[in-house]
Amino acid sequence: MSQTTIRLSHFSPGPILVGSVLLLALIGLVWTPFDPNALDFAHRYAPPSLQSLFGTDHLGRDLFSRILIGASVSIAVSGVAVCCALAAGTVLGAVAGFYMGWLDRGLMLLMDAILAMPGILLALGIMAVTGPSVAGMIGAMAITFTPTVFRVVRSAVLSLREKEFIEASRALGNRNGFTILYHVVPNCVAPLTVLSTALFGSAVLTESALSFLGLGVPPEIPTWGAMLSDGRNIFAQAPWAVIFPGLAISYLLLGVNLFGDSLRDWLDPRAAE
Amino acid sequence: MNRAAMQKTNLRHQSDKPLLQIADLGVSFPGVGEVVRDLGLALYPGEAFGIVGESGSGKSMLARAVMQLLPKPGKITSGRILFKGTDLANLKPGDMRRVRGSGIGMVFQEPMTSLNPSMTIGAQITEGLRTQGECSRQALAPRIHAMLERVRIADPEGCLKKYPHEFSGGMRQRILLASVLLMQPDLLIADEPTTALDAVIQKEVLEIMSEVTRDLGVALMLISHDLGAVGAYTERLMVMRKGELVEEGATSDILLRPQHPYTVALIEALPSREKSWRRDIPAASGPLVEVENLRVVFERKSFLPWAKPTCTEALKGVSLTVGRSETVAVVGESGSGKTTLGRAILRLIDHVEGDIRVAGEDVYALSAERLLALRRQMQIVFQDPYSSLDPRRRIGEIVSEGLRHVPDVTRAEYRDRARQALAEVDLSAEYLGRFPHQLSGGQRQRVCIARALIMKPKLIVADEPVSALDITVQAKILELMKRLQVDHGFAYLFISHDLGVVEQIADRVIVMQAGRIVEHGARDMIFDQPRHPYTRLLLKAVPDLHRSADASYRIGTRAYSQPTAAPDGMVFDWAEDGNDSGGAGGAARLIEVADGHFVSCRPGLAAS
Repeated sequence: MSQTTIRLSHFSPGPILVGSVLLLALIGLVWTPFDPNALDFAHRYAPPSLQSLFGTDHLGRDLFSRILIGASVSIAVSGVAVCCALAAGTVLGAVAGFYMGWLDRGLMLLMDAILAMPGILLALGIMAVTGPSVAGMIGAMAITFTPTVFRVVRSAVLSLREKEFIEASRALGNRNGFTILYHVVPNCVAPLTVLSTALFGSAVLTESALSFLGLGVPPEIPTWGAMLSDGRNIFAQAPWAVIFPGLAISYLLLGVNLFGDSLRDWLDPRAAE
Repeated sequence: MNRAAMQKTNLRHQSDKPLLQIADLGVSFPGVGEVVRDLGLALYPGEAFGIVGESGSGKSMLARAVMQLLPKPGKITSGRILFKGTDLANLKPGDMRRVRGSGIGMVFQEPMTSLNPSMTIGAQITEGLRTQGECSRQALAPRIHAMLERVRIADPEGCLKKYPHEFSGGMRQRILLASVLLMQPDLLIADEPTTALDAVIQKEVLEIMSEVTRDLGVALMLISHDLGAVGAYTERLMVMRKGELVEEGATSDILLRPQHPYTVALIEALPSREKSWRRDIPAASGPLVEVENLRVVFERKSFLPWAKPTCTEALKGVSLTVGRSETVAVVGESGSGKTTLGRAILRLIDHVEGDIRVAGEDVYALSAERLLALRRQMQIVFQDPYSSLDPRRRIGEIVSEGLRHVPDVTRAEYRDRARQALAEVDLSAEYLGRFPHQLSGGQRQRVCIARALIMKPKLIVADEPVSALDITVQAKILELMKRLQVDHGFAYLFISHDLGVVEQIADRVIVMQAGRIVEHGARDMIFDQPRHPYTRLLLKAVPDLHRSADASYRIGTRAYSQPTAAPDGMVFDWAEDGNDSGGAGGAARLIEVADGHFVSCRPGLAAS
């Protein structure tokens, strides 16, 4: 009985969910049923039908086509932002936790200062300097997420550095840089996979908030977040304009979270076999 | 003091009804299988009963089954546990709660985590008593006082207001004992109560536990992996292996005439001097390691930048030498600085004062390149085989990691060299692709040794390499270490708190206390004629097991009849009554009392 439970727990729908979204995003890049930006005032507020799967919005734009197009933008922007934050936070956190001392205190101060400001406000400030652009938005999001990654990695490293295998690595003559890359960082993978999926979720939402404020992706490119905020105004006439982008975001986040869990198990040698 | 000696025959067993009777007990975990199988035992009122077994023998699961505190998926699959005639296995949770505490009390292994750190001792002690229905603080106070005094807590009134972190491990274990006994149980289960403690403290706690339970007429079930400890404090003994009963009987009978081969193996695995290895140490061509007046101070910076950092002096001027192919053991309790000493020699500590020379080179003055070359000659084996291997690397990668710094070894040779190193520690090549978690503790320690061995070192610092292992595994690892030393001729700096192991392996012994050396000399000198009172205290704390001529075994404690005499005009810098002068402000020095036998003393006041 226990064996079946173990085998079942190995199966995770995460990769399938994420894979299906990626596939749709790729399709959206080359083909959509309608031009996502074509206005069709004859079919405003059209409910979902066979012709227009997810209905149309207040300008008569086909929601299904917009969601297909938006998938690649949302995934790319959030994914790149999370990856940048992961890279920066992991390196800084590992260095701070490993060396401690003044370096640690300086970095902690910097990260706490970033954390002290609300994420949106910080992003607004950065975008005010750089001007609205996709690259600027990605950078702003990366900076907002870095402190979270930093703190998680740093606390993991603080306990790791007391482990004897780190001392064994020093005794073998390894440089600190090698020890950090070879022994310390791989052992932070478990908390990082969970954290990055959580961050990906908030990245999708932050992107939508920034786009809503007109600071991120230009309005002619539909993103899921922007569609959600557009649809809010016409919720009474066309609830599907909110429901379908919302469902798309939930579907992606659910997939990413499940995928993160199975990724963590898959990367952990102890869970294999 | 010695219960086994005091009550040689227990005739009352035939007349009394057993307090706890276990019959055909089976405990199993889904997916793991049976951890306790067909186990039966009878424990009589007021008796001290020992359960001995290695890890995985099911001894803790047995205790937890009795308390109905089995970890979650575990289940009692068969048998009965009769406590005063009621079957605990079928008791409702509410009724079981009444048995716990007032019927059966339990003392756990880890004193650091078994008391709640956010509650005062007083609150934790009264917490248990309240559930028994005694509410008035006034009525309880004298009882609590008396009990704390019984377990030799010096200031019971003050103790109640303190928090657990203010006490040492031994004190906490005594407080726990007091709080459990205050519930007036009929049976006390102590699951490895002293495993986490130093030898001297261990003896103290076991003696108090044994004495108080005897005075109060409480039956004691003492569970341990340590045959010596259990043997000295119990009347009857049971040996368990893999969930099954191996042998049961009077303690003295089992130790004198073990019947089962496993019991014999267990007793024979205990380290003893008779198993020490004699070998030829090559004629001295200068010592390998020379340490002179080593001082290590750990600074802890205060939160406030202007405040002075708190300093802890881990080593206060230590000098020693290790010859080539020699085994030097460093003995001391936790906090004596023995681990720091080993790490300082390997330059794993950044700031030291004094000189450390390995093979003639000053370890702390070397350039990075020369240090790398020297590092190959000195390697370390750690205590905890679970944290000394990177859980995410394969055994092959772990063993061959050091080869990166050996010139003229190509990557293609790594695997071969790793295979050779594993073969030397008796592990086959199939382990190369495994992960550390797939290995047992003993196998992991073999991997640690292979990792050191692949560098072809001249010195191996072994920091408690066998203290985390089961006794039979420990014997095998010691055997392996001995063979490797004979084959390769390296020197060991063997750091240990276990005097039994030290007696078996050491050529010379260094006894450390509070960051300094109190006595050092040849092994036989230290064990047969210890001069320093601290050394004697340490030696008296460990049970001494010897094989007699007729293939039986004898556990005794060492006794030293003559009072220790300091050399002329000197007094010892340490006394057992707690008058620790801590090196007497630097006035203490090592005096040679016999050939190569040094004792730490300071100039005597009376003589001057």
